Amino acid sequence: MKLSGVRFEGPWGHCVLLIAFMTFTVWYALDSGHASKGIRDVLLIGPVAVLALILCAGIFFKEAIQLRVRIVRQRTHEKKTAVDFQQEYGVATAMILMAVYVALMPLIGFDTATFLFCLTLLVIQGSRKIWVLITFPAIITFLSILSMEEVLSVPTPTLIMGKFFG
Amino acid sequence: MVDGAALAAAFGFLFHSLEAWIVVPIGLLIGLLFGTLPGLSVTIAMAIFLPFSLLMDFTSAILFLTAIFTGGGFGGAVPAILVNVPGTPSAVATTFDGYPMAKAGRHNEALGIALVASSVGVALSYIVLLVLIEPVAKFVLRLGPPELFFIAAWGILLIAALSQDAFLKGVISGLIGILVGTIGMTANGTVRGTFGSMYLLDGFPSTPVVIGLFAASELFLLVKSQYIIQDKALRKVSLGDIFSGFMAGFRYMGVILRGSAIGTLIGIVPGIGSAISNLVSYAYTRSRDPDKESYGRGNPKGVVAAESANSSSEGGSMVTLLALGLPGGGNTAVMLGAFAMHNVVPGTRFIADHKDVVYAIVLGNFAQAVLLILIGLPFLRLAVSVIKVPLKFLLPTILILTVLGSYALVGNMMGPITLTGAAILGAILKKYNYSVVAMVIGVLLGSMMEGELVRSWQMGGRDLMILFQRPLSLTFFIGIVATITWSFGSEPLKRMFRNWRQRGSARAD
Repeated sequence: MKLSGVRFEGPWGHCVLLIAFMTFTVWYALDSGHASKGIRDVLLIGPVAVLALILCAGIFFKEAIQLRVRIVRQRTHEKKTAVDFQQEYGVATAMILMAVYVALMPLIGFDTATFLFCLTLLVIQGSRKIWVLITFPAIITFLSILSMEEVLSVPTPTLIMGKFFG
Repeated sequence: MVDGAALAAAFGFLFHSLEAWIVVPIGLLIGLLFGTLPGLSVTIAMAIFLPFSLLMDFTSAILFLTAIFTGGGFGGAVPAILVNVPGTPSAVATTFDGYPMAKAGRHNEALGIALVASSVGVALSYIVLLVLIEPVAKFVLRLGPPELFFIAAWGILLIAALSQDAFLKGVISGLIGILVGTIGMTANGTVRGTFGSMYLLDGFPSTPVVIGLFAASELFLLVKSQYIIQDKALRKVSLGDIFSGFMAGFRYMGVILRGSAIGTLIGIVPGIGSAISNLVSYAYTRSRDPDKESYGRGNPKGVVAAESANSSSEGGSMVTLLALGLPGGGNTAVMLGAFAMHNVVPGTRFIADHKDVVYAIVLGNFAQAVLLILIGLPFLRLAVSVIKVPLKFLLPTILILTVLGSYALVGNMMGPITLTGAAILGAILKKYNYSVVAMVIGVLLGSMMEGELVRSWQMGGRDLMILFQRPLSLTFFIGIVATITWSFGSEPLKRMFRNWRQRGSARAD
């Protein structure tokens, strides 16, 4: 399949990271300055922020001269196998999955979110047997929530298992 | 320096009943378990079991809590070595060489070496406590805000200097970490960087930050693998190999002694703690070794340096607690709670009036070092079995434990949110060769550094020149300058020296 596209070459990711650092530093320094009741609240933050900005800017300008944007005339698509997906996108997927898990925990209950997270990770890592996909997440969820409630005495918002705890 | 009569009385304390000898092994097991589980911490374990110490006499209570401390100090090495996730913040440097050893099938050896380094480290630090508690206490009193500020700054720079070819990136990581570490409410009520959230008034919780940043890239990277050790032939669990590793650890006594000295010294300084000592010991050991390139690739000395320092910082922190009544960190703060529950006030008066109790605590901890070996070896035999478990089962379990553990630690969703954010940030930092360690140290010490700097400014009459006017703080400042100079200048200096020698040889010919 032929497509027109744009290819970004060079340390774009690194430059984005440096911009993020600089943005955070400027925002935090301004927030601290705005909130401060005197010099003592910015005594460390001020010089640290200035030094961080100088260093980040120095590295940014050194990297930015290597950035390139190329127009790509055609691209071909390859069919991705399950193994390819695990190798190429497994890391990014796991990161997104963890973020979704944490976001869902207070919404659908720790037990449900934990079960779904465990199940999805098993699938990403190539597990296909139904009994494993149901049993293992169920055991892990049960044991971990039980430990939280009974051993550590930490009240845990749950959807289903809460009925079993006092 | 050692009072013979008090020492004899201490033996009487320990042997007049079996109570201490029952609670210490239990404490070691609890510490090992909590230290091994990432996301949980030794401080949680000590806090959970603190009420039980009310049922014991004072000496047994302190020995029980220090046993948890000792067990946890070593327990953190187990996941650090096997899955590159430090079980506790004090096991971070253990991952640098422990995990490469595990990937090469030398996991049994690595754990055995870590055990001997931990046990000897604990024993040596309590020797310092026994012999030097009073002079050390006097030295600690000389460390004021300017000295503590420079010690923290020097620690961050030393860590950044570890990544020689990315020193500036390491400094940036440390600086960003310091900024993150100061988020929250200051002592005078100023709220900074909290996004209006009350959950950030105390700043980001430190243990989820540490576990998240370090667990990040390796746990996510493990999604691509089937087992921790790919070669099936190397995936063996052997108590014999663990014991061989344990015996082999004694070959590195020089590194153990140095690491123990560094850990004890840093443990003595309030507020710094074992999370820093293992990194400083690692950095120093690597800098002294002619074979620097082997570090980070499975050099046993890296494991020894880290473990001996993190375990020996326990004895150092007990010096400050007993002699000055100052908790060095979360663990000793819990122990201070035990003192309060038994109506005991630590400090110079306590040492003068109850030297026999102090010696009983020291002797009990010597025994703990031996018991750690006896209990640790079979514990390791079980723990190492984890390498036979396929990662598709292990990885979700570890991730879930860290997330739920961080929730238990913090008590609200801030724990898991911080952990996840730190995990993603850690993966990105490692991708672009930024020092995760320097950022962690910055986060851990940022608030403390600010406090010491403000106090220095107040001591100097609103002038910071006091930082350079005290002999000790000036010494630490010179150390900082030397570290920066060495990090930038070592290669050009070496080249200049080589050229000078070559010119000299050419003239001689």
